[in-house]
Amino acid sequence: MIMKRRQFITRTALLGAAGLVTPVPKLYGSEHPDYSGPLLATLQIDGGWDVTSYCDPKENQVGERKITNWSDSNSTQVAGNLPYAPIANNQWFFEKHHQNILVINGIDAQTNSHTTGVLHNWSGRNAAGLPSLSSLFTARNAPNLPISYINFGGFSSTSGLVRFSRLNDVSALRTLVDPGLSEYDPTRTNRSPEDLSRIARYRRERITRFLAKPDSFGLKRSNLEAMDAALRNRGSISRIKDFLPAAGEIAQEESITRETNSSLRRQIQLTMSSFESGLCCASDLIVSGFDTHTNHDELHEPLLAHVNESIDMIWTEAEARGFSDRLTLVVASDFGRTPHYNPDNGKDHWPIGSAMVMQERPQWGNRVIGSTDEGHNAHNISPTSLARDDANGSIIYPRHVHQAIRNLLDIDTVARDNGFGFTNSEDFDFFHG
Amino acid sequence: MLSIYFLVASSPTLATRLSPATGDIALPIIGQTLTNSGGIELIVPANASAVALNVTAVTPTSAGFITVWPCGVERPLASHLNYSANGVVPNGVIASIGANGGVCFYSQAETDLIVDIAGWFEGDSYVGATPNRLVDTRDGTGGSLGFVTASTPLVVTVASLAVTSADGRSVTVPDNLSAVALNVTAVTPAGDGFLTVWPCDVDRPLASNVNYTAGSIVANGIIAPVSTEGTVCIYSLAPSHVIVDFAGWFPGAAFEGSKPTRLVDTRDGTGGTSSPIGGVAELSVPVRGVSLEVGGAATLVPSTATAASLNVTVVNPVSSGFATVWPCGVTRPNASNLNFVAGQIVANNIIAPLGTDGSVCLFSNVDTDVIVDVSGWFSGDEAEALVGATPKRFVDTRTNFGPAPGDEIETIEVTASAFFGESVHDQVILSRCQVCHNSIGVARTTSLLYSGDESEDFETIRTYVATDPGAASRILDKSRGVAHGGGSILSSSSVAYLNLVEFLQLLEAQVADNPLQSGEFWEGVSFASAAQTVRRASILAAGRVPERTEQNVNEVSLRAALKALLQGDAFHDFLIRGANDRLHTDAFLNYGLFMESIDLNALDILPVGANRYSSADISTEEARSERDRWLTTWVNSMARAPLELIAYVVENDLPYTEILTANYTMVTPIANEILRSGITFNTNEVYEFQPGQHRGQVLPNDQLISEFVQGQGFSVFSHGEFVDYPHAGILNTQAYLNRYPSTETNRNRARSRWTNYHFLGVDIEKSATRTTDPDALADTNNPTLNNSNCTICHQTMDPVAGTFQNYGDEGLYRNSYGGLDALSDSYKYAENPDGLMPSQAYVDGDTWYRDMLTPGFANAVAPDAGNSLQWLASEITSDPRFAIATIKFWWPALMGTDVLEAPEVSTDTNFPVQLAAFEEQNEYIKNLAVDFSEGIAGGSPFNLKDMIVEMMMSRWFRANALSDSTTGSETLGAAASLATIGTRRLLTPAELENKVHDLFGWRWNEYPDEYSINGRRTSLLNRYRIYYGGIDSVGIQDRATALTPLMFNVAELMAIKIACPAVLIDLQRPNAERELFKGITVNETPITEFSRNLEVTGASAGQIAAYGVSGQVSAGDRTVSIAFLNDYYDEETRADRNLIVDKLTITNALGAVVFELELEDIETFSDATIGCGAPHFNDESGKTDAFNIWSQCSLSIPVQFFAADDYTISVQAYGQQAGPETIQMQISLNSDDAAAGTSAGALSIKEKLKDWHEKLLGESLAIDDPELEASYSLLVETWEARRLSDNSGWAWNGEIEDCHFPPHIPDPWGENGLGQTGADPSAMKNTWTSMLIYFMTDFQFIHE
Repeated sequence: MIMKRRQFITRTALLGAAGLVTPVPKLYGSEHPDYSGPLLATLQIDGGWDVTSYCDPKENQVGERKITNWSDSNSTQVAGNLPYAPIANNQWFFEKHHQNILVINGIDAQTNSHTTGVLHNWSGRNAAGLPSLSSLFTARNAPNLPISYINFGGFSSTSGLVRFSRLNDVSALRTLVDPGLSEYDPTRTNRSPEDLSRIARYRRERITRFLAKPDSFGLKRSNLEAMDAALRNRGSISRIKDFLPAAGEIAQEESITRETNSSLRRQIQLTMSSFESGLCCASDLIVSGFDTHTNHDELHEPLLAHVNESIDMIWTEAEARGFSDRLTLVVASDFGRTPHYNPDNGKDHWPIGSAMVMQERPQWGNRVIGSTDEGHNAHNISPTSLARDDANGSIIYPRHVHQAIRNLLDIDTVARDNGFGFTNSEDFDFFHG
Repeated sequence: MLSIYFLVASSPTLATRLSPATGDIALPIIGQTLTNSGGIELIVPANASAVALNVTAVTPTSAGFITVWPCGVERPLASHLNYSANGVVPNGVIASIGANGGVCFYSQAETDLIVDIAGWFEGDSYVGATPNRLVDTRDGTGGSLGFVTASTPLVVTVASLAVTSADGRSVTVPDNLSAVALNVTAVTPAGDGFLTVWPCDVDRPLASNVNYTAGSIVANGIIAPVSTEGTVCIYSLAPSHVIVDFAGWFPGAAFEGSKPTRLVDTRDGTGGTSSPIGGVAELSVPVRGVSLEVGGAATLVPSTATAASLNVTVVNPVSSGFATVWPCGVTRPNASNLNFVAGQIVANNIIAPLGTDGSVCLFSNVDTDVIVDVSGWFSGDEAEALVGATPKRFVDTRTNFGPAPGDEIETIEVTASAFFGESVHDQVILSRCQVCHNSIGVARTTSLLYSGDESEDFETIRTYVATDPGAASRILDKSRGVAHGGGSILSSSSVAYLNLVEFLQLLEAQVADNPLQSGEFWEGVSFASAAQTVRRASILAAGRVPERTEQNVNEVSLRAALKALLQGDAFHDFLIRGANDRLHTDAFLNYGLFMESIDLNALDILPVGANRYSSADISTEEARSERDRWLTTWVNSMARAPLELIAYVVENDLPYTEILTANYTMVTPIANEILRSGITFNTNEVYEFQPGQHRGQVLPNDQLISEFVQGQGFSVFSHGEFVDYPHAGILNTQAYLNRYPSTETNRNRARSRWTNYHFLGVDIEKSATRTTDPDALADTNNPTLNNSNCTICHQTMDPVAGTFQNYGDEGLYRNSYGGLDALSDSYKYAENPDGLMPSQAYVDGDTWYRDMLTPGFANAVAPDAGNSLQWLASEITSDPRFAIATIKFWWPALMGTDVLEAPEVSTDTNFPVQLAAFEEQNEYIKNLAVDFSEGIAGGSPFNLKDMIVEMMMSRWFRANALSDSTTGSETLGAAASLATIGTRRLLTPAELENKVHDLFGWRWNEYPDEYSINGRRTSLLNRYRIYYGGIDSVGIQDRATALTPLMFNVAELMAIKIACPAVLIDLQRPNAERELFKGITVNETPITEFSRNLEVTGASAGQIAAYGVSGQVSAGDRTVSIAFLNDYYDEETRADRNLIVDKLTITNALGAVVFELELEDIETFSDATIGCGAPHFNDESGKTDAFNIWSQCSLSIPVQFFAADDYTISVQAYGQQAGPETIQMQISLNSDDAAAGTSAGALSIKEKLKDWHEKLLGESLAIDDPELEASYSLLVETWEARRLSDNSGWAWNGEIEDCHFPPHIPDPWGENGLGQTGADPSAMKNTWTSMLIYFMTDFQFIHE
């Protein structure tokens, strides 16, 4: 017998799906070369931070394995409503900034792997495909600024929404903002402005012709659009020069521990200059070294101190430059670290971690949401009361954190419009509860 | 319950000889399984409209004919092949498929019947009809009565014909069709000869479609291109009756009909073979890339061609036999296309699917001459046109194979359980699923666990899908790799998958109704030509723009052309770069990351290195610098060792498995010394890498006596024997081990995780379902061994981690005291202080942790602790996944993106597209991996160059554009929707730098750097690398792949910095050596009619001479230009060079003077333009007698020509000679309309711009292409602005502009100063500089 299979294949017209794959950001906000809207910075703590020595302090329990060395001789301290571990310069930091901080503890990254932890905590999902908060924020507020989104490394998925810029060398940046000008003599040009202007006009016209051709698709079309946007948006880029640190003031890479150098302060300088220039709305900062499988305390303390000083620098600079009231800072990591030390005095990976969200004197500041037990296991939290609710509450997952931050930053619509919405069964309104 | 077509057998006996008495044969077509030229099984889908058959009648009892028609309608009056008694007659037939999915066969006389299927038509690509007789010259049907003769070809109008459709309806053939399918029969011709069928609006070609002998009846199925008037012509050499039956038409572009063209004639050597074929020899006939005439224009059969319409004729075979035509690259099928007897001439029209190399193969079992004519090709992707298959036999009544005559196609119903038992359980569940989905398997925590019993397993699935509406779709998605720990196990186009769908539907489960099929994936996409592919491949992998001769390739020669690119320094860099993008071991270069295990300041187990370091002279700054230099060289050598090993294996065509199994590492001279490798080097280069073994380490035991001095390191006084380092390719290079350092608790798991990832393509972190239980991971009792949430990953990860047992946390070999193992002291000597640690397990002699899984791989245990890593390398490279992982490893280097992962969330809006893309790519990779491991195209196994070539040949590398923008969205497949597919990816900084280096000969701002491994620093790869999206291999490991404003500014800054010197340096080169300006001079401006540079030798008025230039001039206004090209002045000696011109004379062809001007009077000449200079005062005469041009400028004199003629323009001149050169004068005749672009100069410039578009941008443009016009327009605007500017006469405006030559270029000014290089009287150097900036910042320059 020869069988024949029923026709079940329906061909699908796919052109309509193109927009879903290469989303074109919708301009929800007005956009000006001198952008004055909200600003977002994220600080990626790379490697998994030990929040039991920071914003979710844990003390040793009798009969249990030691969870923190610091609690041998100290007890948990509180700044405002924020408990903290009294190591490094935590006291100074939390005393100074607690009014501006919302701490979210007991976030379950559902993984002990770095890759998945970073993906989960910074996109809100442990499956690939969602963009970073900064990507959504940029798409919402100012996708077409010359350097609208800076990423210094770490998680950087844009899902095709926007494109990020990478910055490092300040002096090199100065030469790039106006390629026509001589680097060494401001009275000279590398090429006559008239020539460059004429070339630019013809270049733009050619790109426009290319874009009008119906045959381009895929990567080519995506790259044409990227170049078109780059050409359209680069006009005012030279303005950043006025806001960059002088040569003698550029923060150098610094040694934080024997194994870790950090450029975080330079990242902050570049971010602040970019924000102030009105050319940028979002920046992903990153600091590494937190994967302290050996000598945990010895390595983690200076790193936490560096983080504290850097966050303080962000707010000090933002205030000095006049935009602290527009800035939101999100701090998070891959996950936490084990509630005990390993034989090398290190701490290994632990799925439970914390995040901090900061603004200038927000109504929701000086609060802690979420909790963990003495062994750093997450408690169930009530989505409505935000209090511990073992019976009816839910563990806080990164999707909850992201949904709340999306709401706070007014970027949920742009996320949903581009197919990046969450379908959470419960919402935690961390910022209004 | 489900309706299914099947064939009811009337009796246990199957096919018997066909005759009117036995009834017709009904052959089901829909649902049959065929194999395409790539070896992939395809099922004829329900939307197939027609099928390409080869039908053969064998030994009929008497003369007669066979009719083929769509089952379900009445048999028409038509004949598809005519036979005589006892003959063997084949014919190609395109048969419409009936409404019940079958094709029917009738024979007028009793005969055996053979039916082979070569492919089918889908959708609207071919509209099949019930055969309709259009012409029968015997009875006047169609309006033609009587013989067709050589002088009176038959004209058959096919457009607008009323015919009967396959399902019996009356339809009208459209008037815009491209070709028709006919069956043409020659009947009782008056002599031997042939018929030729061709579109009436072109000349009759040399080709034959039906070959006949006098008095015979011979039929042939023909795909006939149709003229623009909708007609087909038929020529007969001898007078003959002709019957034409209409079978269907091709309405769109699926079939491109060409003028029939002879590809092969073994009688005269056409096609390269000049002797008969036969026996074992197979004739390969390239079709793709062949030039055919379409619509009067030469057209290459494109790379997208999938099949060809051939007419194959055998001539004078030595005995009876058969011939088979099939796609090259697959095993010759059991099928025949031609059957013949000795001495016959037999032709058959064949739809021949092309092999993967674009060729068709031809075989004859006896010696015979053959002729192959081609009349068009099928293109587009599979579901869009002909889906070509390897011919497969479906009926052979001689062996009772096939349906029996009289049987009918009916519809029956089957049950889910029956179908499951017949088509799903063994084929899918047992063979694919149960290996993991059983009670102790990796998937033991899932809901689907199979026992192997058919009834139980059926019930398991039935229960599963009944409880959850999404369960059936989830099963299907998982099988395709969606969020499936086992990855993709079924392709959606596979029979097994289709059976699974069928079964789930039988269970009445909800199944998503639009799983995108891989066959539709590339619909609407066209692909780069062979020449374009060579260019792209060359720029990416060979770092250079290929020569034109290298691009003179077709599909057949493409593979060899691509392979030829894979050599040289730039290819070496490609390999290093591509490998580093995955391994990131370059992070250790120049101490970007610190490699403790080779730190000579802190190690005494490398005695040679330690002593070299500690004894180094550091008494002076110079001496310390010298130590720093060799120390950096040592670090960089060790950092690069794994990448160099990979490059060495590839470049020497060694099996790629050797990257893991090599019993050596790569050493430079310094590494050779410290590692005691004993290698002799070929050069004095400090970074020459050679394979060598590490014999430089000793074990840390009581024989090792050393002393550490702060600031000086270790002095080693004595030590034990040097270790025979057990090399395992790159796996135990220090850079690899240190890139994934371990810790006491990590215990080599990172090394395992990344080894799995890089070399098996297994991402352990994605291999298990992730727990949602917060308590599940909160486990302290050795969770990786005891917690089931963890062991799923760790049972894969930990044994492999154990095979790294001899390497410590920093990668040192057996670094524990005594050198017995690499275990941590805290494990070996722990005192269990709090009782919560594992019980003390260490036993003397152990080399691995007893509370870990045993070192091993998969289910095998490493047999010997001493060489477990070598054993692992052997196991990995023997695993089929190694080949797949290798393709994934190298994919980004070529494609610019990672391989696609299966989408994980089915509710994502673009999920179907992403899944289709993943599946298409995954299938491609799996197939290529098999070829790679077995040897590609006859090459050796695991040859990476061959694999790279295949990837370059693939659609993934060559998807270029939407093929026809007017056909509408319904023709587009998933590929068209993906932003990551296709050409024109952004070049990385290194790729862009290589391109610039190739074009201009130097890199942007290149300086030597003795600390750098490549000996240099450049702006693009150092200062601006991160800005241009590059990586540092430390914190930034992913390249930015889309241009931003800052990135564009990097490209523009480079263009500006390079363009000026690039133009000037190239112009200094001899014409033959130029890259940019070969064949053009800067004298040629947009208005130049003709021009000449002349050497003025006279040094005084007494040496005055006439210098002239001649050329053809049409009537009209012109301008004569006299330019001084090489001004000179020496401030010390005040030596000054000036050009003195006396008289301008123009004479016509007869020598008559038509214009004359004393140039000292030029200031009074109306509309003349004086760039510089003044009338020359003659001291002797006391009068002005000439004009002194004292700088680099020109005089322009308007002249009106009243008649077209050959004219000579001459200038009397001498000069004030100074400096090493004699005076250079240029005389030009110019038009006055630059924008018109019609002057000789303009045409020359356009030709050069055309060259630039091709060379710099990869665009082949016609001379009137709008893009070329736009470039010319920019050039004219720039030129006019420049020549009118204050700075006219110089290549750049020194007042405000710079033009820095690269430091390693010899002084461009030479002894003759600025004049020679910077002089620009025509303003064209300046203009070309701007044009080069334009080109270097073009989209297509920075994207390839």
